[in-house]
Amino acid sequence: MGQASEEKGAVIHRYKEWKRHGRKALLKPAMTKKGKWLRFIIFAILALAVLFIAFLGPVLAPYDPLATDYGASLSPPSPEHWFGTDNVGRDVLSRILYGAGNSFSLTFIMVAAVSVIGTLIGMVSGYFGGILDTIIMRFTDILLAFPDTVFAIAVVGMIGPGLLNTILALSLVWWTKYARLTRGLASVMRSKDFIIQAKFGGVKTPGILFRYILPNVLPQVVVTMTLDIGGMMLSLAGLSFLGLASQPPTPEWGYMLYEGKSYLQTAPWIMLFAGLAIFITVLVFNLLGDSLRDILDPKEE
Amino acid sequence: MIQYIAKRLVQLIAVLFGVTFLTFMITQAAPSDAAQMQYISMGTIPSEELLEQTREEMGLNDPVLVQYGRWLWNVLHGDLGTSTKFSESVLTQMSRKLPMTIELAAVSGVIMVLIAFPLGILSAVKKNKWIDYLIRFLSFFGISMPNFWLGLLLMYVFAVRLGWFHVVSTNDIAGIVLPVATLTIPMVCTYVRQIRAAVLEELNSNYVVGARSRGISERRIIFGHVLPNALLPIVTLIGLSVGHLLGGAAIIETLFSWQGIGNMVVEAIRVRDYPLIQGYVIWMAVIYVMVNLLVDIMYRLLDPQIRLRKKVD
Repeated sequence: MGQASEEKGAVIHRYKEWKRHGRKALLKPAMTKKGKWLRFIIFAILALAVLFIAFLGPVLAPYDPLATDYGASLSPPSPEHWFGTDNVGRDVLSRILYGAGNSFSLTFIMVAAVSVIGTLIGMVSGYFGGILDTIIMRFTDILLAFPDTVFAIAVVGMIGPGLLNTILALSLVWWTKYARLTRGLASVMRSKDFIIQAKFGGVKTPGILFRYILPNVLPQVVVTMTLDIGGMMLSLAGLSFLGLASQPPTPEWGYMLYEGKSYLQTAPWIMLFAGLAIFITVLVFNLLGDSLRDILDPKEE
Repeated sequence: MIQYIAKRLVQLIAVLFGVTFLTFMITQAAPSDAAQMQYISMGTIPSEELLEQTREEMGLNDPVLVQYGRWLWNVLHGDLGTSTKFSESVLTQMSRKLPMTIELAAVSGVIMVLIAFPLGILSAVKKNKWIDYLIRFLSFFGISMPNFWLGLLLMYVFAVRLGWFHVVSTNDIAGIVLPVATLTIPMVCTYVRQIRAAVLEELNSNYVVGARSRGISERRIIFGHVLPNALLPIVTLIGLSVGHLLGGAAIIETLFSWQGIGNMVVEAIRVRDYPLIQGYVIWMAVIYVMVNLLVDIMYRLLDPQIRLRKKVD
């Protein structure tokens, strides 16, 4: 008797589920492959547009980003100065456009550098294992013991503020992320059949690393790189904002925010537009990275 | 379990040892050494001979490892040196500023959990419904927003325009609102996504399908089974969030003139107060590593797979 009513309950539940989600839900995955690619292409075009503006910045800029005009200092957005002017009358729009090139090239170079270094170290560490692996991993443990940007702040603090020192400080921490990622993948792959067969087939170690392991870790590395563009840009801008990275008068977004902070009450447009530029860029690249991950790493489904 | 804690403590000591070594080594990279800094802080330019004599007295001509040993010995005795700017011990400085940072981090952490949890769970349970899309959409905005810009915007709207708060933070309830909001919003956005992922993974597992087919109500499945299981990965997330809270403090504290150690270190960097920077780095690392150890132990205590295995043994 009890059993029968339980079964009846199950049938009713399944019926309710079916009614709630419908047959469509059972047949169609949340997002088709085509949809994923479409999303990726849209964000890729957006990212390219942002890049395009960044590198054409000097051409598009209506004014010289360093030209001061004390007569027009701290003027609000107007038809002459779309984004207003700063405390010495420099055009904010022009400074943002010029700053874009700086911010971008720096971010890209850094992401490229740390990912190449980290991936190489991680592959070697994971593939060979043993004492070398232990040493490298313990070293990354130590670096990871410093929360977030604390270590970068410390390095800049010790060797002195400046752009080059900031780059050094951030790279010192950031490669560990890639090293740990590829190390994990490589150490699993080490004992896979295709690697062992390649070894027996006479492929030399560099060949195994670059022709067999690298292609297999690359998708994840690329996804991480794309997602890191936003993070790196935020870290760089954050250090500039603290006045630790870029030196005036070079236009750079983080530093513009730092300057804009002093004029929050009289000229909020300085910080508004500089921040907006960072925000939009990071948003576009985060969305791009996310859509790329959905294509290359379909774990979530 | 005791064995595990002992093992982790040994690892912890090794890592902290490495932390002190690394911190000491980056000090060696500083362009001016302790002897020079001493004279600079007194406002005099010493002759090369005097400088050399001071170096000898301070032991700066000894091998680096000997210097490190001596320094570590002092650090272990709680002596982090004397701040060159404030001419008082680093420990006194830190013990005055650290509670402020911890106050900010703790309040933000609690509020973050209180907001992120319900939203993350809601988003997972209502997967691909409008509320899920809305939460995910907003969280993407929050993740991409530089926290210093968010802080400036909040400051402009609520302090400059509306005049609800002071631009410079005061140490009371009104003063902590804006810094906490600035620290919390981006973190809520990050963790909502991760909590959603953790809950979804549980929702897709076989035992949920089994429970559903046995006619157990959806509410009981979620609150009785899914949430306790999803709690595990979330506990780890909270451990990681401490790093964000402490690291982010430097920017937020500077922005709002909050008198914590983040603000202190930025000031210390400007005046090249090396002992103070050292003290900051070591303290941050110690706190972070300790919190993560506690989280790992808690994880073990919560995980029934590990807890029950012990009983079988």
